[in-house]
Amino acid sequence: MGCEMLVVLDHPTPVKELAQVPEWFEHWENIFSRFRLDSELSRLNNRTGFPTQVSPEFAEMFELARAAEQQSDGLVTPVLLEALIEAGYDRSFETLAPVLDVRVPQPYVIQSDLLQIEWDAITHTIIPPPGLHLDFGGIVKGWAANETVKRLSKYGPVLMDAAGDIAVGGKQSNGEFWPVGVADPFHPSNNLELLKLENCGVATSGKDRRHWQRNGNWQHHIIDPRTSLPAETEVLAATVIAPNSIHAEWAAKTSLLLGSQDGLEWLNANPELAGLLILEDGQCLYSCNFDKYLWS
Amino acid sequence: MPAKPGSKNWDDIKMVMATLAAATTLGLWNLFATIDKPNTMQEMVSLQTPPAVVANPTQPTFHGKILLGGQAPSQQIIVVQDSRSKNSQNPQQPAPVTQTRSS
Repeated sequence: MGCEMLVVLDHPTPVKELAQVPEWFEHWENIFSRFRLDSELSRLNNRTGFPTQVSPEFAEMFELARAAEQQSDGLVTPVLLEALIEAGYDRSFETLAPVLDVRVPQPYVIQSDLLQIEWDAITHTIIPPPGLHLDFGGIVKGWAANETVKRLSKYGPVLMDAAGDIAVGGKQSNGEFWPVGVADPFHPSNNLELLKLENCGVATSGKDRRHWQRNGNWQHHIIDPRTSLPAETEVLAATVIAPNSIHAEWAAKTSLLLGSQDGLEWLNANPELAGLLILEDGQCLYSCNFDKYLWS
Repeated sequence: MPAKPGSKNWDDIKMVMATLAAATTLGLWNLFATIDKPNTMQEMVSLQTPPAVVANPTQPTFHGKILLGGQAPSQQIIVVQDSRSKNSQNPQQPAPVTQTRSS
């Protein structure tokens, strides 16, 4: 997943299963990475138009992505891979460098949504339309964090940070909440707020990281499916707390894409969510129930 | 039995045909194995024009498009088993375990 991860298990004696966490992530990389030619995702993307039986993990991710697409009114969708590549994110982010491209960038016309993909939930068989490629993107990190916490929770309180998408199981063994900072997008080593979390997920979606230059213009990886171009929004970063890290991940992206006013209204209309929107001018907007997560 | 008249000429013809076949094969091979000239010209134009800003000169600059492939990103997983005492000096503002950030 091309990023740094941290798992913390609050337990007095050594737990062997902790050593398996990197293996779990390697296994998930082999399923979901679009940068590995032999991943299950890449193999599916190379045979669109034909029925393919997918693994149980892939099937679960596909159904989660369909639910996220429906609940976000199509704003969070995994069918934006071509638009992302068109914007210049065509290789691992670590190797992206400024590119001078003589082509005129063309908006990629989104061909389909997930509901139009033939899917048999019983046999886990999928038939993507020809030319339609999937990329589960950030939702995979939220899912991986959530899955890790589910597997380790039997040993005690646990926190999994998958590159900023964080899942938390229980309170700490001393009865305190888990203290988690919200990074200041202008000074990432500093925290804007300190959250107190238990049994939930938190994620941040922003255009402050994973951006690159193309023809002298800054591009970023949050694609707006309404334009199929990098999103034009005054929200620099959106942090959302939700019942789990999967929900938090796509809710953060949705509120960022909606913009400051609509994004805040959307967060307030969903009482299971609490959000903080940080605007380009430095202004911070809090949803009405964000206070209860602040460490005062 | 004496050799047929003109048999040496037929050997010469076979030799010429074999030479022509080999030359044709090599010629076609060379033709189709040559890099795409228009693309090469476009890349040369791109390379001759300096980029507006170079964020990190140590990173290689790629020209071209990699679809569904490329170098797999590396990941680093830090595993911590925390058995420290949680008697914080300042329970009102403990040090954060980690931070949520854009990824």
